[in-house]
Amino acid sequence: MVSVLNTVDTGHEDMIHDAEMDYYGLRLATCSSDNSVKIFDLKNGTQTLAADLKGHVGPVWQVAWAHPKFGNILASCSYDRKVIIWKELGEWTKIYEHASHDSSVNSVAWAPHEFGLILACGSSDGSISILSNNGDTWDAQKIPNAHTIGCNAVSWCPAIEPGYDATAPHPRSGPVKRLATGGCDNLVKIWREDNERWIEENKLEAHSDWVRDVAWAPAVGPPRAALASCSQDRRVVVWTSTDCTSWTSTVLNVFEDVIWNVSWSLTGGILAVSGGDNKVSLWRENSEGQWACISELNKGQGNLNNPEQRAL
Amino acid sequence: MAEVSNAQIIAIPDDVCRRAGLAATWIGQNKIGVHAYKHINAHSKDVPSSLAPCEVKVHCLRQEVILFEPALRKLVNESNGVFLAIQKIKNSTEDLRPELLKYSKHYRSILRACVENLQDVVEKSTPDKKPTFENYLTIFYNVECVWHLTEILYVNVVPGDVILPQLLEWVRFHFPSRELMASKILAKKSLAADLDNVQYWEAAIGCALHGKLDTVRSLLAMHSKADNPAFGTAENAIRTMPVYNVYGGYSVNEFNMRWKHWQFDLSSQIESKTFSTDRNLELLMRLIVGEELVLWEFSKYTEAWYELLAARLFYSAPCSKQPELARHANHIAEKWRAGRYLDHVILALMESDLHQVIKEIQHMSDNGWFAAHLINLLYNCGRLDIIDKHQINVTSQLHESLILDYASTLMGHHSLWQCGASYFEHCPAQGLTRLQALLESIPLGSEARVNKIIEIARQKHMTNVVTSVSKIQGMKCIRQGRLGNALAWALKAQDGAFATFIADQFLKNYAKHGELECQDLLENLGSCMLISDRLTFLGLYRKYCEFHQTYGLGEFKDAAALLVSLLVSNLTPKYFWSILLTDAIPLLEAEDAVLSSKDTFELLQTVEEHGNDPKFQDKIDLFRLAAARNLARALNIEGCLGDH
Repeated sequence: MVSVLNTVDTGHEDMIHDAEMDYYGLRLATCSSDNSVKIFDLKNGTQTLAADLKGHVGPVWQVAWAHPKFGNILASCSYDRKVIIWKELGEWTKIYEHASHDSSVNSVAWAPHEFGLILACGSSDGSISILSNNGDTWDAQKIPNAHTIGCNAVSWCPAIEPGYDATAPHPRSGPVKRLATGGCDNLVKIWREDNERWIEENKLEAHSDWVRDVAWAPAVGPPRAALASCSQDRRVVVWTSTDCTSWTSTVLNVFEDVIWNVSWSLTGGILAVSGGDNKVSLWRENSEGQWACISELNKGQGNLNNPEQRAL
Repeated sequence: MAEVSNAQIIAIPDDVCRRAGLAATWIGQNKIGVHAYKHINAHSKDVPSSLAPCEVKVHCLRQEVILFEPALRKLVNESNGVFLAIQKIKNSTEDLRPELLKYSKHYRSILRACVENLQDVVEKSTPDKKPTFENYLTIFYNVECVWHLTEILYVNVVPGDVILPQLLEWVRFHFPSRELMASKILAKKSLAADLDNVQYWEAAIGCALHGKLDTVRSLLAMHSKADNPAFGTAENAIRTMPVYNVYGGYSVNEFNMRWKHWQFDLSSQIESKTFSTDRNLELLMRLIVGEELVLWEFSKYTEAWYELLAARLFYSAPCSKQPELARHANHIAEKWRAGRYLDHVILALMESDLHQVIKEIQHMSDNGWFAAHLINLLYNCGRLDIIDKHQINVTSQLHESLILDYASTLMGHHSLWQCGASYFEHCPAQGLTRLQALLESIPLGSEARVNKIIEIARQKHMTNVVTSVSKIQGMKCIRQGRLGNALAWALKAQDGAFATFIADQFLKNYAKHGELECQDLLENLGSCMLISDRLTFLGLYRKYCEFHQTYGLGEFKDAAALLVSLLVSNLTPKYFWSILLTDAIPLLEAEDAVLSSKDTFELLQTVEEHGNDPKFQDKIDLFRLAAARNLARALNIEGCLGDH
């Protein structure tokens, strides 16, 4: 049984490209083709517009909330080649603007908070940049030519205890920073930080068209890493590895339309898949290692009199 | 895959989504956000989309959790207590069976209370809420029924394994209507009960089907023709019917002989038309002698196939053991065409297909309460042995995953989360990591809740959670300008860098306003201050201020010593040098010399190194002069002392 908790009317003038809840699910950030980023406070089913952030001069593709221990911080990336970091200091203020990409920035993601305040950005210029905060300044590192034609998605590996990680150089050196990216070269790549440099650790090939989203599963349970990727080839692939060096791929399903987004539940058990076919489906791995669809949300074709649920 | 065909489809009307497609993102544990989404990228034209202007909405969806209903709160909390008690006993080496039976009954009494409470709620509820509560009532009634049978078949194993007596008890408990009917008739004490009550025979036969032979005899005695010899013979036959009892003193074989003999006598009486004066009486006796045809004729007086099953065992196979039960159950269920959901679960139980039972009860819509608690009980009874299709034993994985699911569901509630958290400890593979992820995502809210979260995280040695939660609280305090509270959080988190940051704020505020905040807290830092150099400095400087404020000569000396030690400690932040050096001037100029020549040399050395601060420029000459005077004075005194 699923019910609609609330519906937020964003008031954006055009399509939104991303909507992200903050860490505790109390605030919603949206970004749109109308160049703006909006922040809403959600409380007891009501919404209030907390901020309307204007700073980009092109469609804003993605927003990302930093961990609350750093304060209330939001990053946004746009067609205008810029990444903006916003912070709530009484009012929402732009605290940093990163403008070193040569083309649209498609994706931003904050690193696990254990590593500090670090942001990864993937751009259509094919490069990935990594911004690290040092008090009042931001250092930028770049991985040039990460994906030919462009990088579409970035996702951080959760901070895994090094004891579980065979590739950790020294068992006591703390968790390794790892990043998965998906691009227009049909590849998913995994990057690892090694002595302050980012090296390509793995190149995962299974898609036959542009990779649209990658999502690293939260690390729970036995030492196994899992990663989901979706592509214009209408496939969703789940990658698993026990040592982060060799990866096994499982095609979750081939869908009717392009899949744009994959999202893991908080404890990693359930994968939500959504795309051009106007459906959200939830997938779960059973004890036998097979992926099964457990529920499907279907929007747009509902009947107003019976909007809530329809059992198949 | 079977699962796919069971998948539920939920439709939400949104025209923009229909035209564009959509995107979904998880929000925490059990919510999903959905919005219209159409991909465009750097290579698309930068123009308003074909859909603009449009009403852009974000829908938040949540899995409905009936356990969050206040009427079910008690069930959740009390069953949690039983669950935890079971985990405690499981390490003892004694036979756990009797203990587990006790706990199983405890679970059932909680369920019974819940069902009764729901009955009250249904009566009191408004018409719009009524169907919901009626639905809950059905769910938990079914749960109770299945739990009871599971207890009989798997938890409470009696010597000899003959299951009939308990099975009858179960049927009587869940289908009491005809026994109630009978007791109403008996209460009237009529001499022609059959004529006064249209339901007389239904009650008598209903009781016979449940094996309530005493009630049947009492009813027969009230029949208008009770004096007829046929009734006398019937009463005698029923009274002498051997009923199997483990503690009855007979072995199964002996019992069977006696029973067969009695059955033979009764059937010859039926054949000789002894009971033909009353058609109903004759049918009753043919049921009692075990005629299958009559049994099915009386199925009209039963509500479920398993009532009939109990009757069949009672009159035709009273010594059946569990394996035979499966055969009988199958036969009756098939002939009855049992197809309700509960029928499947009960049949699977009787067929000892526990894997199937667990699969079925996961669809009970009780959010996994039943599956989690029942599997745990069976697991501890050692009655579970679940093999997947690759012949791998997956019992403990299944056990853990059901408990994890249930616990994770509870973690999504603002007050039940603590109850949920207590289950994770008993999931060896994934419990703690899952708990950690979920704990971190609980909205912090009141200080009391924050402290509870930290307490749990501490117990489970999740320093990460303690640190990050305390840090978030500390940041919140800083935003509100409550530096003292922020420092308390930093200390709770044992976070040195954060403590340094806050100590800096204190010192900077002092530099600006000339006053130290939160003296109380700083005074009581004790060894906590060692967590960060800056905090140590702050703590010592506060002490210095205190000495300095008290004017007695002794304290003046102490203050001087402390100041010197601060100056040479290498703990001083850059921006604070000018203050420390300024503080030294009155000490140098004190009436009595409080700084020795050695101290004065140290001071002169620091002023060389750090005296170039612009804020100190107007005082540097004054400082040098004071130092020179004090040096002369101190050397003089020290020289005199040396003479002696």
